[in-house]
Amino acid sequence: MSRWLRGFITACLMAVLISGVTPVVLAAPPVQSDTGEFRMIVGEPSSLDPNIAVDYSIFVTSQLFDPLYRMEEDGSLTMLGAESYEVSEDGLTWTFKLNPNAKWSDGEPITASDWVYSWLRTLDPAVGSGVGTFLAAIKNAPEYQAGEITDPAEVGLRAVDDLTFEVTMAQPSPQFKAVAGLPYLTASPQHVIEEKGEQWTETGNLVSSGPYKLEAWDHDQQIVLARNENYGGEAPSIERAVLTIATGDPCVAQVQAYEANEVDFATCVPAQDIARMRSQYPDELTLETLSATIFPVFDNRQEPWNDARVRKAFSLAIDRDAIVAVLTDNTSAPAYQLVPEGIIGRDPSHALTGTVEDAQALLAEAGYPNGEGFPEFTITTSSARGRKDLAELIQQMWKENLGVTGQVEVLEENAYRSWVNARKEEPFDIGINGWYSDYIDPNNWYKEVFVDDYRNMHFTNEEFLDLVDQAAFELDEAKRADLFTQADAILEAEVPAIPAYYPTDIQLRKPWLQGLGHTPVLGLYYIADATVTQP
Amino acid sequence: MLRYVARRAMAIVPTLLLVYTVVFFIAHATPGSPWDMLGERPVPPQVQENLNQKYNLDKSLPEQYLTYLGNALRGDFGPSYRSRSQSVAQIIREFLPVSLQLGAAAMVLALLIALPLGGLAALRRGTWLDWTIVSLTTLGISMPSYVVASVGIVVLGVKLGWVPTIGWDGLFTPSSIVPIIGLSLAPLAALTRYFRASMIEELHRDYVRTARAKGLSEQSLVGGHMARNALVPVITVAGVYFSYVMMGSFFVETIAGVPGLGRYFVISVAARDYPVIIGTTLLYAAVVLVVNILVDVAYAALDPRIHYDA
Repeated sequence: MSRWLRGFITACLMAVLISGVTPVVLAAPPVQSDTGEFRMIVGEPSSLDPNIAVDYSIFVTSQLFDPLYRMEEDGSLTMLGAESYEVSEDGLTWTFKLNPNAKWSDGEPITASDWVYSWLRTLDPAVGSGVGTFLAAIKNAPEYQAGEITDPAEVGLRAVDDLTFEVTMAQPSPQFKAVAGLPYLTASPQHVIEEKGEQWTETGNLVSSGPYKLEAWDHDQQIVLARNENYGGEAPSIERAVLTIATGDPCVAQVQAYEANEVDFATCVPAQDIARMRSQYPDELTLETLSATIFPVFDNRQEPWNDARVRKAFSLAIDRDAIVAVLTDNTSAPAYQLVPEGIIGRDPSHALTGTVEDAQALLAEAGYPNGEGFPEFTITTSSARGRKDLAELIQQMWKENLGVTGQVEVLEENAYRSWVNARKEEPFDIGINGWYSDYIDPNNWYKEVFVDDYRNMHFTNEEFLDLVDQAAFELDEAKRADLFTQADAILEAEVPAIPAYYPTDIQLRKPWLQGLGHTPVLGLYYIADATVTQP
Repeated sequence: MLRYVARRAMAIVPTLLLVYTVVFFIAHATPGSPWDMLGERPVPPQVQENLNQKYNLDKSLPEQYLTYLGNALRGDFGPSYRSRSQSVAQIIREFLPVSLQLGAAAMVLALLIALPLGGLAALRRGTWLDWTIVSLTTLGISMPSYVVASVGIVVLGVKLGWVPTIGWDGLFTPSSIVPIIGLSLAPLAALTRYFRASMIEELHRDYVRTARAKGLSEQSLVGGHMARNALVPVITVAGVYFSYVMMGSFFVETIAGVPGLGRYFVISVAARDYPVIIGTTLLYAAVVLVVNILVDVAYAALDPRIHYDA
């Protein structure tokens, strides 16, 4: 054997011995982290800037940054950045008294000017944040965001003194109570952002206002949170949290890690594992309510969808029990109404009722007996798990029950979003969509989804538009609720979209983890609320 | 030799330019925009316009093409759209080393097992040992890396608890076992077969008979002469696999949670992160081109009959 070859093989052997064999000598994994730290898996945040991140990054930013307050499930407020607030009688001026103990994690005080600065950032066209739309009700905010006004002083955001933050609305905006608690509308540290620019969210730079501070963000690897010693509120029980970052299917990764005791909490379970996890971890698996509805939408402008009888027939012809059984292993509830429970205005008596025979009769009445003469149509959907299956299920149900033929067109997720955005002008037949509450207020549903038409379904019922417009600015709570209830009756009777099911978060928590909640809005959890029993 | 290498190196430039052109236009022609990912609420047109302006997307395509090219030539591959606080250069700096380490370990493991195994099969041709080795390599070639990695995680991670189910703690930790096995299996199986076939060919050469007749020891014949000659065709295949494992495999890296470039590349495609797509593709192309040159140089080193500057 030549010396060269021998040398090469020896080198290879050494390398493999070191890399491959050493790790085989292993200790058994700890059942629970012996340091009492909290472990879970998250997706890689697109940003840790709370005023910019609107995707699943908020599961991390909401541990780091405090909004003015948090609105609880029962509608009560837990004060955080603010101590108290009051609204002027005309409903136009909202004055927030800030928490005098609030400090940034570097010890600097958090002042009203930080709040003005950060809310203006969400509107600043140069920042390019998607968060600004939540502040559209504020005086001159849309104009500033559109670049029509360049002087930020004209926007209804003002620091009266260090601890008084004043927000002026363009019109009375009762929904603002819920909006002001959104996880994106936190203060961000002006002194750091101005110094570090876009790098401010990196390890060593990021300064936070919440119960935790950022110890490390190794991109696409892990995020480590540590207790913020300068926090102005109650110190959290869990000292340190290690968030491992997964790409690909985070649900699969979480379940595997959960079974191997590498994490204390899993935020979701993939459909194929639900039955197994349910029987294996009956005491650890929970079904968590979300304020959301999955609904296929019609292009209400186009024939034949502009005929309410057709839309009703299509809605009555689907078997929702079968849908939730197939798609979610019965972990979700079938939806008979577009607006989910917990939203003011929703009334169960408004649900559309009827049988498949009624559906057939309605379709015949519209001029298509047994589906004869009904044009072939396309159901467009994203390739996201569940959505595509839903499209195929209803396609089959409509074929069987109504005798109509639809084609399913599947688009990659980003291409689908782009397709939906382009439906503002372009015609379509049916698209699989849905809505998850951004905040608990009827405004988010009746106004934003159906009037502002965030899903491009082009539902234009004069009476409905009128009622929602009145309700939006109504300060009398009872009157407002009544107006939304009237609007709800029209909405459910007109079926601009088909309620299919109410999605649920299926989660797993180890027995030693206590107090980690789940909010119906956005499915948030707060590590600061939790405790880990020491081993 | 040097002249040959220089000539080949010069050919890299037009190739990369061609790759850049194709990737640039395909990326921009893909439906969807980087700003469709900004959440569920429609992004106000002004915000989109400003983002486009900020990242030069408001210019015409040919203009963008030239601007990016100019910046890239100066070494600036631009900012990432998906990860706002990072630039493409930072991303490559951060993720390439992981893929390189992982790829090198997988390749070393593959070669270390493939060469003795292939040689053994060739020398014991027609026996049950040969048959077993060939069957195993068929299995190895037909098993996709993501199946190997998934099964590896379920068995070694979930069931046995020997390795973490996700994450990367470095090359010399349990976390690297599953990805190394997942990545090395395909090259291992392929190289075994190539080396076996190549060795069998050598067995029939005249020099083998001459060497045996002259009483050369079997050990020095096989190790010193046959293996060296048989390696020449194998080097080509090894080169291809080398660039494949070095740049990381999307499947293995994703399943095992390895923060490598292969995984990042696919994430960037889903996010329409044009600068990252272009940057990583160019890097991949460059690696393939350089490895090809190295392979050709290795030929000459292994086989004195091969000359390039004739």
